[in-house]
Amino acid sequence: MSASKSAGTPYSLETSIWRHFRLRLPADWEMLQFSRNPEIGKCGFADRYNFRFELNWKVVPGAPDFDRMLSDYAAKLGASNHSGVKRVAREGWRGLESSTPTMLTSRFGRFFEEESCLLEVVFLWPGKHRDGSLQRKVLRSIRYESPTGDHLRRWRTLGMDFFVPDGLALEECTALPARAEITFTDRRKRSRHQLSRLGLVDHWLKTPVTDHVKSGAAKALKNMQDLSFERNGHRITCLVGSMKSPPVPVFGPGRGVGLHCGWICPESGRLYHMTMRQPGSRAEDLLQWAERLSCCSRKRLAS
Amino acid sequence: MLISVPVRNTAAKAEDNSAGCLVLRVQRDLPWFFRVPPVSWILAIQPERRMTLDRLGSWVWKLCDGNRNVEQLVDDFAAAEGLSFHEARVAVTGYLKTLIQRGALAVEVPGGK
Repeated sequence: MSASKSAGTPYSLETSIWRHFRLRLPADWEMLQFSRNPEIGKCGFADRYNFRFELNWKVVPGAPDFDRMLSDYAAKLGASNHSGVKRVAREGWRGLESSTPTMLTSRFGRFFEEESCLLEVVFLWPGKHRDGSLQRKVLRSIRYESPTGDHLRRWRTLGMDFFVPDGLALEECTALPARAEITFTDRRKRSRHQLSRLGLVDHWLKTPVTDHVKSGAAKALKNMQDLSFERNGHRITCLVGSMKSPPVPVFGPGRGVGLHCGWICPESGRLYHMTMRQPGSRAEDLLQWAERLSCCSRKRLAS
Repeated sequence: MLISVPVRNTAAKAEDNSAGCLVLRVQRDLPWFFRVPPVSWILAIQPERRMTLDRLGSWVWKLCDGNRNVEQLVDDFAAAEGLSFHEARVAVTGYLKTLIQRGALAVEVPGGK
């Protein structure tokens, strides 16, 4: 395989949604770096040979002075090993293009008022060719992802497309080979939603999925109700119950409803596992959120 | 790294065990004085190093045929196990690193670079 696609080769684009921003990138640019901090952070995407794209965000009090920002940035690039620094504007984004001895770079910035957030995207082009058409497509695709009418936030990352209640923050995220886990909690850690996508299932899962889910649920829930269902070829084991009281109540999650569900996606062969606890919510709410997890593009759980 | 070719140590011997895993035995290259008394009386160093590879490690070993480079190994592993390229890359290079450290594999870089 060549180090970079030749000009004119079409890319297959896939959607990602992270920290309330949606964008479309080539399918083989995988997210290898991410930040959980909603105030300031970065996600980095790489193809098999190089890092290719960065998404940087920073919450700022108001729209920045772009002219001054670009001037300062251009001076900083010129003082480093970047040459040919020039200002550009594409698809509502303003930025700079430059080159180093080994690659071309394009960086663009835009202020999103909805989040009072300055977004910077950086394209890295190894070699001597910059794909302007792809750049424009990616820039056009980047937009703010509003909460839904029922106050949910959508995320699409790590092979999962799901919704969590607005107000829950990204607490933990793990991305290891065949093991992706993402956890959202509220400030007091009483509400908790955890989603996992696990691969190499044949090598480690020694019991049926149903038993695997039930054994985890039995540790956390009492008075369990089996709400398992089938949807679009997926057999989903789903258990709902009351949270068990911790030995010392003040240190525990408190009362409320919890949900555990799991299934193996027939398309990818991966095991998807969700656990939720949400004091004050009904079992129907948790089930509705669980149903909105999509594990594969052609088989959405929610109809 | 991706263009380099893993090559098996010809002194390494592989056997399947009853659990479906592969046991590799690699002869140690000990200095002569480790093999004669009195050092051999004091330090009972085994003449060969043994390692048991799990199913995935066995699969990686079997694919190291001296023809595939690391990139091809990663692609084959990803296709067989339903992983993305980078997931497979981390897993495969982890196994390769262990095998190289234990003397079972070496890596040949095309062009001698």
